[in-house]
Amino acid sequence: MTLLDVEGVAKSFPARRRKAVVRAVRDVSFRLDRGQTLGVVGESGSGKSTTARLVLGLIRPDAGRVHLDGMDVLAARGDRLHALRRRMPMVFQDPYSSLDPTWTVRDIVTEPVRLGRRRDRAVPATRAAELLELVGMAPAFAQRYPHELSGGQRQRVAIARALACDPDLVALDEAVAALDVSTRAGIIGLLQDLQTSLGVAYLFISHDLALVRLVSHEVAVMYLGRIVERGPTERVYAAPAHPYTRALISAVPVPDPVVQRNRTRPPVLGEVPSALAVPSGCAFHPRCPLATDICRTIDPPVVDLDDGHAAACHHVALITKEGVS
Amino acid sequence: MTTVTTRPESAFAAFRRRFVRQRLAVVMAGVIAVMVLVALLAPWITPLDPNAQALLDRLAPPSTKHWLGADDLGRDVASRLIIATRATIWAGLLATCVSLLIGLPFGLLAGYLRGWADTVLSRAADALMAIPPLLFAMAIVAVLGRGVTNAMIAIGVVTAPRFFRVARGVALVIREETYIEAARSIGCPTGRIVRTHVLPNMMSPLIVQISVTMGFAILFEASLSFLGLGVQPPDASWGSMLQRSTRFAGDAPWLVLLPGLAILLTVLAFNTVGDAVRDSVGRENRRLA
Amino acid sequence: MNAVLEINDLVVEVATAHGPMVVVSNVSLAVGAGETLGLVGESGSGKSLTTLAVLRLLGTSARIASGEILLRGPDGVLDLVTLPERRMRDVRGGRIGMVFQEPMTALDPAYSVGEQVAETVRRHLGLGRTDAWKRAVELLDRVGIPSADRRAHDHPHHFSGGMRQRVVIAMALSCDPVVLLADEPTTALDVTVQEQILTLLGELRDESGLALLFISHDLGVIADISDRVAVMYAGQVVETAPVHELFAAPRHPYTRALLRCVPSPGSDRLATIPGTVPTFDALPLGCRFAPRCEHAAAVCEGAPIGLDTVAATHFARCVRIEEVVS
Repeated sequence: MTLLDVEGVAKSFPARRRKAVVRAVRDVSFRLDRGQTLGVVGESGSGKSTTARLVLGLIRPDAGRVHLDGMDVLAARGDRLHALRRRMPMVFQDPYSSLDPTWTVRDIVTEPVRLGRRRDRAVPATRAAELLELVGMAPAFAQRYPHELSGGQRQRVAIARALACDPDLVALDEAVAALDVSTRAGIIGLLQDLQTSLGVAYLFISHDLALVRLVSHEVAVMYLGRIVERGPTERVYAAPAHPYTRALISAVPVPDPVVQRNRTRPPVLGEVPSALAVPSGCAFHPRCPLATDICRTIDPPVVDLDDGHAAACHHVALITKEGVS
Repeated sequence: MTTVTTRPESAFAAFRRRFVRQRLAVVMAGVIAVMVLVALLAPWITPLDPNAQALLDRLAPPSTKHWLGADDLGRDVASRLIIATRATIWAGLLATCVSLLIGLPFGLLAGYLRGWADTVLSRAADALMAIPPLLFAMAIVAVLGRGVTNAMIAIGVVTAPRFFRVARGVALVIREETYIEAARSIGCPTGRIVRTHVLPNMMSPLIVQISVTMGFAILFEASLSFLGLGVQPPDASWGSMLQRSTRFAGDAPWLVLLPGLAILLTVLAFNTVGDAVRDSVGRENRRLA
Repeated sequence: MNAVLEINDLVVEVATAHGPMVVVSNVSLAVGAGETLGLVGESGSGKSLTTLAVLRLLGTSARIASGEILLRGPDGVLDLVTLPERRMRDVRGGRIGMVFQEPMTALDPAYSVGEQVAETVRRHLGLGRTDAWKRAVELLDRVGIPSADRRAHDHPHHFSGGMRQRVVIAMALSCDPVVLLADEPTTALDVTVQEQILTLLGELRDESGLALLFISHDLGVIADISDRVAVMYAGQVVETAPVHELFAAPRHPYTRALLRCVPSPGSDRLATIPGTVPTFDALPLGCRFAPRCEHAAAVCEGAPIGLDTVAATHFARCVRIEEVVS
């Protein structure tokens, strides 16, 4: 059952200097089912974080439609918008700045509960303890302030706050990127458990491809504001259809020296261009080993391959026939 | 399950530890506390009636009767200093409250909303900032009549841009914090964000500004009273005491010295405590101070 | 072994309100010419402090309490712990090159990158203006900056993150260093760029026989570039081994746990390590990992654990290796 339906969303920001615009997100469409995880991967400037904020109604898009559970997010205003946002809260990358330093953990995790009621006062004292227990923290933490907690503990508190919204969807924007390896593993395990027990859907934004593969049912690969490939995770990872996806996957170092040193890696040329000057045609063409004349002039449409797997590349047929190198 | 380990000190305990380390500030905080106490209890603790004239004691030096001597009308200087503390604290509080109540809301608005609201309010603040406080207060007093209340409201109005600037500057920083976006993402309305997230996070710079403005206002009260535009006779204020006594500075130097020292000490106390508060704010809030 | 950089029993202390606190405990490491030693650990493991100690850039609150840091060069051996600050300044950016996580911290936004590289060359090698500029352009070309002679005139903000890191590498290489310290040099970069920088560092190491000390928290990066790996935990080296052996047959329970915490194809759960890293004011008396270790026993807790020889080049700080492996 479709929970989130995003159609043709676009957003440009005025650039700081000159009269240029930053085309942050261009024509992004995807769907997310209840209880599922959509991984959004991409490098810096790919527009993945902006996409999340557009979908959650935190930034207004220039074009497009966003529906949560059949309700038009972009048409909502005032209390209705606030109530809608509460159904899809966000967990941020930096656990040190995402919690108000003047608030106790109790107040932080119960804020959504208070917001959801007409009268502020009546939040049962046990609610904070319940929420903390849900994220694997002792009730005694309720009296603490954020600066008394470790990075991992803060991120658990941020997750507890999101859960207090009783959400349909939680957007996780690089939510584990700032954490140590072992702490990260704990948080990822927690998120997986919560999805199983509460049936919450995740919009999992990350630059870490290995992690996205682990947690996502579906994956969307973004490059310079566009989704260049999307599909069921295993299918995309096993048979990437877009040259950028292939480059990205092969660039991730594998924590196994034998595998890592014997991989054949297609060379990726240069770096991501600025979103101020998105290349003509296919935005990836200056870096693409397969680029031809058509790539320089015409932005490729999204081509459906099979089973929800789609890619925006003129040479999809060539790549899929050839298989993964 | 993550367990609770030994609890680190609270933010307030850390603040207190750092504050207490600054000896001078502790002494100055004591001075302020004593002043407030004296102001509250003034009518009951004056040794003599502050307004009672005793012409025989005219310009009497310190003695057992007049501990700190008597002025040109034979009034007891000690009693007048004590009762004048009231006028001083009242004047400082009044001006500071007016300043805060005007500057803070507009500053929050400008800093958090930015855009045209910020442009308009910032220009207004700049314009107000360009007015010399003393001149403005004198003009107000000329229009509305003499008296410390009018004068201090005037001082409060002209110093409001200071609170405006602090509030705006800090709000500009806070609005970019992730916890503000986090609050938006759970459907917290803007007004509530400003009230519950932005305001509490600017407490320490505000406290600093409050103490600095207190010192500033007390100085202006003294100046205005010195010019005869503030506290009116026979009521005592340190400024008016100073003004009256300058004529007798040669014969009775204590008359000049004592109110002068009182003003100096008070202004110094508020500034020192303000600085110490700023320096004692923990790393967790440091970037805002 | 003839190591270019050899750290012996390094102890670093941090001053606290309750007296000095040891944050790097008897760390010994060695890197040979043309070799890469990967240093892995989580935050608070002491890996960055160890590198800063080598450069004597610990700041005012931390200091080297004991140990030696030997730098072998053509003109003999220097002990960096006792070297006067004047000569240390020549070593930094001279015989030891440095690359850090954030390239902008190493670059001055007010000068062109060519001027900055040339300045380093002039300071350390005493070259004239024209020669130094020529050398700067050569260096920028060598680290893969396209049309280096033109781009040398550009200022750092005209460069992308990856290109800036290349400039920093050019600066680090400008005085023909024998050792290159790289502290998370690719962490702030995109993966496709990270790959390019790793390739570059590997090439430079092989061409000029650099001893590369590479610090990272990313096990994939470590697996890619290292010849040998040292794993740090709570201020100690807990295991050191050649890279293939470390990943194929890790012996210390922490290393084993850490390797299971990263995603691998086919698994849908990550292993976790219970508990948290101990703080330095409350370190366990015995093995520092014991409170979180699934193999911990009474023998682990009594006294400090030494590094045990597993094989000629493989050491682990664990008294229960036999039990752990079985």
